[in-house]
Amino acid sequence: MIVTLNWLKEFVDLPITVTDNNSVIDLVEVFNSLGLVVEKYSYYGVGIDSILICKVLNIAPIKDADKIRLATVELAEQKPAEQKPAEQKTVEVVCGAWNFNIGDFVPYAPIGSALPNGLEIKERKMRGQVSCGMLCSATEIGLFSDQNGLMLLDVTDQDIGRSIVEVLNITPDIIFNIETEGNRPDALSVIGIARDLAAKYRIPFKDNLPLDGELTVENLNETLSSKANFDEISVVIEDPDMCKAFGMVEISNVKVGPSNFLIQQRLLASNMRPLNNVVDISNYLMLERGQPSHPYNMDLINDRMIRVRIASEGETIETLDSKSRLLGKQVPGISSDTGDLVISDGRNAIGIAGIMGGSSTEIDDKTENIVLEVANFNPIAIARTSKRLGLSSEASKRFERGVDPLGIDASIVRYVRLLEKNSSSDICVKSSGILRSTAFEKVKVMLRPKRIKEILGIELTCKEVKDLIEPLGFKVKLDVSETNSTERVDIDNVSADILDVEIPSFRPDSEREIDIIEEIARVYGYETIPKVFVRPPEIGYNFDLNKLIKQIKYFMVSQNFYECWTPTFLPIGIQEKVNIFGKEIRLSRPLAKEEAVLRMSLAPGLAKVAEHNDKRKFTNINLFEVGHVFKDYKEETPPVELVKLGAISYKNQNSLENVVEAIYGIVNMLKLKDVEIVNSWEYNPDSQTEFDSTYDFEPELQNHTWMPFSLSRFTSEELLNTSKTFKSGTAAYILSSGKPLGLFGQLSNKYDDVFGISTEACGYFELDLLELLNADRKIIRVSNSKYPDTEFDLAFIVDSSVNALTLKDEIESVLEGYISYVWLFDVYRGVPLASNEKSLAFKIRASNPSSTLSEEEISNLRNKIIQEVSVSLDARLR
Amino acid sequence: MEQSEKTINPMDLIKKIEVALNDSLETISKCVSINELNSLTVMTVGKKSQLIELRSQLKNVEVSARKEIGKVLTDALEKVEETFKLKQSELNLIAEQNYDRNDLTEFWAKLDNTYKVKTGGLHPVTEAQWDLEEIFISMGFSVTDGPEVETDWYNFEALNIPKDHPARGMWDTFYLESGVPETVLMRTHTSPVQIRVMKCYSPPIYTVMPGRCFRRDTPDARHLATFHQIEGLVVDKGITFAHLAGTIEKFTTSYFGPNIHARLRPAYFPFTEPSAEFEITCTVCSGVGCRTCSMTGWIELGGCGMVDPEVFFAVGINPEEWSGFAFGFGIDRLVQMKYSLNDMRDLIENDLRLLRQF
Repeated sequence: MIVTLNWLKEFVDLPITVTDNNSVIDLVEVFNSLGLVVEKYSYYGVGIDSILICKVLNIAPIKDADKIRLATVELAEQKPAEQKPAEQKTVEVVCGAWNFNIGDFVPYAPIGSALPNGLEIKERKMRGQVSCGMLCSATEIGLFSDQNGLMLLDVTDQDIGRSIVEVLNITPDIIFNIETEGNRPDALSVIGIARDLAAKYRIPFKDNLPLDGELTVENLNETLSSKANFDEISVVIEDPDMCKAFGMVEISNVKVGPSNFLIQQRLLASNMRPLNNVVDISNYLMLERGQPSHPYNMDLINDRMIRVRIASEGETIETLDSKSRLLGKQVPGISSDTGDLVISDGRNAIGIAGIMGGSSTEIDDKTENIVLEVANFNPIAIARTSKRLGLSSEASKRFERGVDPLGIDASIVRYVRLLEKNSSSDICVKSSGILRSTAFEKVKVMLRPKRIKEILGIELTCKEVKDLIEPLGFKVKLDVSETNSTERVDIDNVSADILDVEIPSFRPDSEREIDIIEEIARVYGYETIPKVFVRPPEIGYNFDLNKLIKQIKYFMVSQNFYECWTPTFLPIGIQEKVNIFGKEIRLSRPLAKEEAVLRMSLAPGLAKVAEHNDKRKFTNINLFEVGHVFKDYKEETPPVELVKLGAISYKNQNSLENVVEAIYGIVNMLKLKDVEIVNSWEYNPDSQTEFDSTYDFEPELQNHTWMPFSLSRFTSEELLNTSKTFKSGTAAYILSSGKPLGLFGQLSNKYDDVFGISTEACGYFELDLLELLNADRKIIRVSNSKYPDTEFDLAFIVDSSVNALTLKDEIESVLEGYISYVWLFDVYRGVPLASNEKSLAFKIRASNPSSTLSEEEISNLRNKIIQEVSVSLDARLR
Repeated sequence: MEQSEKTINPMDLIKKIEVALNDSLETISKCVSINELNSLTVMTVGKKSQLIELRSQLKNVEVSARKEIGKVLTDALEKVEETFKLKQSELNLIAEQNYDRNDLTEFWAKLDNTYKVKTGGLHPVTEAQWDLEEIFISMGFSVTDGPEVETDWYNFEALNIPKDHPARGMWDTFYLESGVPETVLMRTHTSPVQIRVMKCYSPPIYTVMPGRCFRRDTPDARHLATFHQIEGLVVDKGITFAHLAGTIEKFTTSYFGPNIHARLRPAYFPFTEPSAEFEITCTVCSGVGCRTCSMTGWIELGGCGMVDPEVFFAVGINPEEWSGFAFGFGIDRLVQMKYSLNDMRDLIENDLRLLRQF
């Protein structure tokens, strides 16, 4: 919203002057403190006293120049009054603009003058041509124009050589660009902003038209009816819910022409193009009072009647922007309870109510008789139609927020007065009036002063409350039931438990006690409310999953992995291409087709990042992400969310081993119990214990779990599915106490094609963090031996399908009762072993907690191990 | 030795001792290597040193002076020996250093290979999020989380943003394809977690909720369609706007430093009343005014306000009994400010050349 200081001063006598910089800075702060944020402000009509009006006499090309021309302009030599009359004087000016012709009047900055931006005008030579001064565009002299190039002025020969400030009656001003909040319809008007300022500065607000005095508009009657016949036009409101009030004025003997310079400048400052007096004043009125209105060419209204009705399905109208609009259509997601409201004549729609007029009744140069519509439409209906049509206008923006239902009469009066001044003819107001289909009811709200203290933390007397919000238009009275007598009690001197507050009609955003408290706070000043630090009664906690995530992220970093943040959305179909199966969860209107479905795994995102960095010639690419993935979307209820840790290791010396090391580290860090690694080719889901398919946090909320939603865990079927995104021969499950935590291995060959990475050089794992969180932890009992360890090696030849950990477990089971450490230190395949065989060499270190191991004991242990594994795994000593 | 020397003038001998002493000391001090010093052992402190030679002349001095001269000579010998040892250890140290000189910066420089990454790192958004969590936990707030996909009710309706409400335009929303359009959506803020917390737990509630949010905005240098937010919620008896202002101030000075302050100015959000935007002292210019803050000295950080009674009604909390406040702001924006990141979109590219720098 654009407002200017002078425009505001028409309503409130602000103690601000353009030249007093401190007062301006103060005003900006006041704006901000009211929630009317000043995005920027600029000076207008300042520093242009030396700019003169000149007339273009000749335009000539300059040799060797194709961008600039030489203009000869006429100026009158300024002489003191007692001397001879002004003499004609011409100067030659080099000019780069092309929008002007001989005979045009343009602004001229003489040599020695300065432009508002500080540019000093000096005699300059361009392409050998001396330029005496400068012809100016509107921007260069801080004014507004809808033209590119020089500012063309609507003046006469008598004005030649005179100051532009004097001729156009330019008053120095400041233009504020105010960001207004979505709930304040009144802030979209000069009058509304002025009212806020008046309250804050504690100076009276005065309207710029005295409503109590004589109205120039006669017969401005209000009738509670849906129908009325005016002198020329009859009006029917067919749907009273959609249009609560319809004001109208018929004006004849209008002479369409330009509106005055000030109106044009203010419209241009607000990014509206001046067209003619009839239209400009309607727009000006909207900016000033927040009331949209629409002028129709009365003579083009068929059957001399106006109907406010719902458009029928398939009806079309050509709007003022020359576009044909289809009305009454259904759009998904927008309720069709309210149809598209139109203003129609006896035959066709002549305007989309509250949004844009139709071109059939457009005002043109020849229009003599007009009808001005000043109505009040249903905000929700206007918002829906605007959304359906994808058509938003300055008018619809205001109607959507709610226009003052009691502001119609003042707007009509203001329109007529402005038109009187801006029409070269004597306009004739034929008839006018307001139809009210529904009577306006004042809104009254109960306000408890103690509630102010409870919400704002400040104590105010009734009088203070009154003084704060009455300037905004609220009326504060003692509750009738409280006074309990007919005698008048002076509110200034009492304290009351309840106050009655009447909401002004222009503040539909205020309808509850709390809204009034906000208004009190706003005028009182948020910055004036003391800052009190609140002390929570309990200590603060992080929730368990978050603590785990923190632990794991730090660990991954220590393993030289970099944390990434990959998109939640993936391209359509890409997951199926890399064997991530499951019903695709699609966005209904994605921004781009590359980000259109929800991820079911972190693998595609990380593979893409690996490729990105590979392309940038990185090696040792180790990346991880902790993020939500989604599954099981049944529509209407949100999909199930899982929190995963995904990690990719790419182009390291041994990337696959890297990821195994990382998982090994996590498992040990968390001290998970009974960890098993099962190769995917060994995995038989039937043999695994069934696990719960979902895990719901909500029912068992503990004091400080602080996770008010459910997350899910794997099902065995899903687990099998997930394994398919890995190479079937190079993937393994990790389980703890029989429950799967996730998978690791090499990604399927499909990633080579889809993401352009080499999966041979890549290791990947994905763990379910909720499973990790809930997995059983080892109960740690520390024990150590005082006696030295004995170490010996055993290498076994086994079938190549034997799981190394299984063999290790077998060995360990023999060593029960000893403090033992068993680890694999060598794997061998090849001659002289058979092709289906491998050799696994273990180092075994053991000690007896109570004595030194004897040679005999060691020998017994060796033999026992050899015998056990030979029976259980058909392993033979190498 | 000649007999005539028996009558050596004691003073002459003392002078000779002095000369010999200075000579020996000079010889030692001129040595630059341990080998050189060792080769001079005999000449300086050994049997052939000048001082030892002078000792043989002692018998030619009259007896009464012998004792005194003998002491001078012994002192000189001691002095030379001491100097020799000192020099020896000094030169030994130099020699040792010369033998085993390794340039350890070579190892360091090798690690600086940008393309062969030997370290890992947290994403800057994670770091910022944890810093924030830590501050709020220390202030007595707990951390909560919720799902990223939400229903219309949690994300909008319960927050006093009914369908058709003009304020819906404040959040461009990604909806999921579904039977009934616009029922399931990507959360546009972490506020639905507030609703979940209030539905699950009874007051008093002091919590913050960081998380990933989504808005259907075309990404630009300052906005991403996917971003991270942290919100806070307090519900207790007697909570006022003054507490809100105090909490924001406390957080601001804790996170940004004691010279950075917060101020509130009126704003509009459907779920709070009164509502406010909060600004902090510009961290670039410390409030003096610069380009970052458009010369105002303040930068906008987030929104806040007193929980609207409608929101309390939606979750079944009695607004006459309890009151509360909520606040929220973007974590990515903080990161952008902290690292002077020109383009927010760089954050989601995950280029290791960038990630390494944080």
